[in-house]
Amino acid sequence: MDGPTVSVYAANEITLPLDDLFTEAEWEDFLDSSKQQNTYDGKIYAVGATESSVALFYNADMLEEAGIRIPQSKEEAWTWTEFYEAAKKLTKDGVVGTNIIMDKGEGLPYVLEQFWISNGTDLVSADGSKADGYINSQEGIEAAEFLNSLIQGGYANIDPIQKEFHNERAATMLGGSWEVATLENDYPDLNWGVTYFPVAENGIPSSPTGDWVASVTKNTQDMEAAREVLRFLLSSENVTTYAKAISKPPTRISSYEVLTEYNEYPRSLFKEQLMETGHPRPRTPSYSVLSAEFSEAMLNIFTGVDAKEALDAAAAATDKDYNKYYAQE
Amino acid sequence: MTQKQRKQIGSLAFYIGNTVIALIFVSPLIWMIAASLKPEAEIFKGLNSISTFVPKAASFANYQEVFTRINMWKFIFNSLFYVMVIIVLDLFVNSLCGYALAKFEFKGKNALLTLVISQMVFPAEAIMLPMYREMADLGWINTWASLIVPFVAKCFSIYMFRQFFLDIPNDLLEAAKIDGCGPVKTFFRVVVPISGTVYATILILDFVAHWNDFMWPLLVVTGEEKRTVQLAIQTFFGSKPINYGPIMASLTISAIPMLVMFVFLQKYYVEGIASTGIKG
Amino acid sequence: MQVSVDKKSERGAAYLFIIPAVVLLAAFLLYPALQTVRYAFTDYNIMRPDRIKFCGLNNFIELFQDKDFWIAVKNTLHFTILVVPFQTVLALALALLISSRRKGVSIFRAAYFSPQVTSMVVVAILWTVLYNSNPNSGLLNALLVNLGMEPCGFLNDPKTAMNSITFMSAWQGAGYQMMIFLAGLQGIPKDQYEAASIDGAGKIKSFLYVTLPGLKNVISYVIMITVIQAMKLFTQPYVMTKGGPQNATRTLVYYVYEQGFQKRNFGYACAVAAVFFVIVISLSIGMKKIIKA
Repeated sequence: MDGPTVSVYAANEITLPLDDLFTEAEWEDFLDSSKQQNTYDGKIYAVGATESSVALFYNADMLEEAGIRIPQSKEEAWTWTEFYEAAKKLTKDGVVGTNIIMDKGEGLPYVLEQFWISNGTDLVSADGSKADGYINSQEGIEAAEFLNSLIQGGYANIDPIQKEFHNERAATMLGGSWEVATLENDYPDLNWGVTYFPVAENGIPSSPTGDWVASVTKNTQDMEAAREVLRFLLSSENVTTYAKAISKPPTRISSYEVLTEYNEYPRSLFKEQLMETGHPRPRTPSYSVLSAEFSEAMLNIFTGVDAKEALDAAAAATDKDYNKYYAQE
Repeated sequence: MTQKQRKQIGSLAFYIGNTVIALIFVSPLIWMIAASLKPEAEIFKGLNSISTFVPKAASFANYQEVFTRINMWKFIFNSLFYVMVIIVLDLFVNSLCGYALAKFEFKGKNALLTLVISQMVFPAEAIMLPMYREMADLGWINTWASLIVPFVAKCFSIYMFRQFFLDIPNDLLEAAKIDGCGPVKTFFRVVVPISGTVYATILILDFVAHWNDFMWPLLVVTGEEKRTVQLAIQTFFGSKPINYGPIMASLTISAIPMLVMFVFLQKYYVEGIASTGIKG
Repeated sequence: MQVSVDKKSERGAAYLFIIPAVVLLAAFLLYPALQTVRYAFTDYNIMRPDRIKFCGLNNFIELFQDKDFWIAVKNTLHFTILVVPFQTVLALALALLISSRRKGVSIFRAAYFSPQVTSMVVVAILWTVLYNSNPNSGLLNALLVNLGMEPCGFLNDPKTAMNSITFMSAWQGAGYQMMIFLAGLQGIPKDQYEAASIDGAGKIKSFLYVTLPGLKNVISYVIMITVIQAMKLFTQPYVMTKGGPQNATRTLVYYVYEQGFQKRNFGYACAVAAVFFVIVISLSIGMKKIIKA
């Protein structure tokens, strides 16, 4: 299952806790972001072999020409203002300043939730029970309005063509770790770079994480066998092999010692983000509703609806779902 | 202007007009085929110009990847198999029912007609879940039965057959009766042979509908044994990043049987009931 | 004597003819449909199939107060009213265009049918390029701007989104009805045309007095199924707009899907489906009466 849905299955008692799958020492080897993603109500319900991260890709030629500075360390990451100014400056001659993922689906909360976190709030409360006061908090509205300013100003397309950044129609892109392989293999002529995910003014550095994981369902007939399979698949060796094969960052810290490509730029940046600023998506049984409502709210805001109104509606719908099905527990 | 010149201008207008409109309709298909022959990076380049319809260095690399990465031949066979079985049974069962509704009188006829028309309304999305549970209860999950049996009887087909059979002149049927044919013989010996176009039409429309079906096979097929072409194509969308090259190749592969079937049925569109019946 | 034997054998034959279809329909269409109606009275959440509680008319009461539901009704009717005449006329025109005996007609036939054969994935990609709201990327907007007009939001503007989908659906679906019209045109006896031309009728008169009446049953069928299929619109909003922007393209079936599969409110979704069924049936019955008259 996809990472953020772990809580949905767990809360509906479809999957079983896996805390005793590994010893405490063994669990230490897994990235915090991965464990957090897979934890609901204090127990771990899933394990994954790979992770993901999102960072700011940029067209080095265009940035140099416009004289825009490139952050050299995590502390120098662009603030929202700098991001806005850069995007504005880079929007010209048929090129837009930046590309924001607009897949009308899971991509939106995946990438954009970090703007809420960076500004000091989140989409829901920590225990996943309440959205009102979080997604539509003052900080949340600010985040939404910031993103909207990029669209309204014309510095990001509301409907980007595929591979906008790759084809040099966008100067920057909030892109996933997987884009590195694509750019290296298919676009060797593009002079690109990648830097840290933007941070709110005086905000918390934060970046997206999350990837597919495996769980055990309650219908399992042989728990022992299932455990053995999972222990095997997620052994240090197999995680390393698998992560290398599909070019995704591994979830095990020990794997990074073998996959030395992650010590070099650009992959090192993703590793750094994963280990230091990665935040998984909210753990809430109402995640499917939250995700859909968030995407819809953002698209509504981008097409002119007032941010507070749209986010209030999203909060209400999410809370309604939680209260209807989960509040009694 | 002579008669001949007028005819020639008429012909020219016909061909030019149709060509322009045809190009508009067929352009996505052409784009898809072109994209399947391009390397990954080329596919989304220059979407604003005509050049996007022409692959600069056409190669079958994407097709090679499709056939080596997944067991595409098997999936093509699976789809062909279950769709053809549905169609054969569908044409048989539904034409019989449509004919009865058109030409016979029997108790419950109107009720049945109303039922057929009203059942066309239920959207698949709404009844998919109860249908799935039914398949589970019958033990049909991941069997050919679940892919085929629920779809043999179709309200759209029954209704369409009825409308067409209504138009068959009754004197034709009377003549057969006088010749000593019972209703069954009349149907198979007289009605079916002159309904080639109707059968061909329903065949191609149903073929396309089932060939492209995704949601239902997604529910009832678990694993590779019975995986259909559409399900196989979906697996390409699971990877991050999405590789559109193999996707376009597999979509093109998927379009071929439909086009072949379409071409194959063309001859049924040239003939018609025409005057054979009336004059006789 | 002859008559009663005929009638009896006719009745027997009739039942023989309809039994296979009736049995299959009852088992695999009627039964699940009735189940759906049953679930409409429960609070079925598909994540917890073992905790289904009967809750009477709650879903229906909620439904009638649900703003989104009524918007979906409006959108669906909007689409249907626009697309049915447009697509039907287009399909008939195409069928007429290619029902000639000229050489190469089958190529055109295949071309007009090709959108049906082209995957929705490809159609979505290309129509997004066509409809893109940015004049630098959108072909239609590039054209509008060149002609000195304002760029149009198309799928991103709540005011034009549904119309954009309507146009695209008509383009995609015309091939389907065209095939049916073609079959119908083949069924019109040629001597009727001959008789008409002997009487001195030109192309237009012969169309009005031979073709159209000859197509009566086919036209009524096409309109009926097009209305039903239009009311069931799901795929295009699902792939291209996810019901947005601002609810502009949320159709009834999309709403059913969203409630049932995304939000897992399956009981509520079934209630919506049941009401949807009633709406469309009433529409069909109404249409049948109009067509008869």
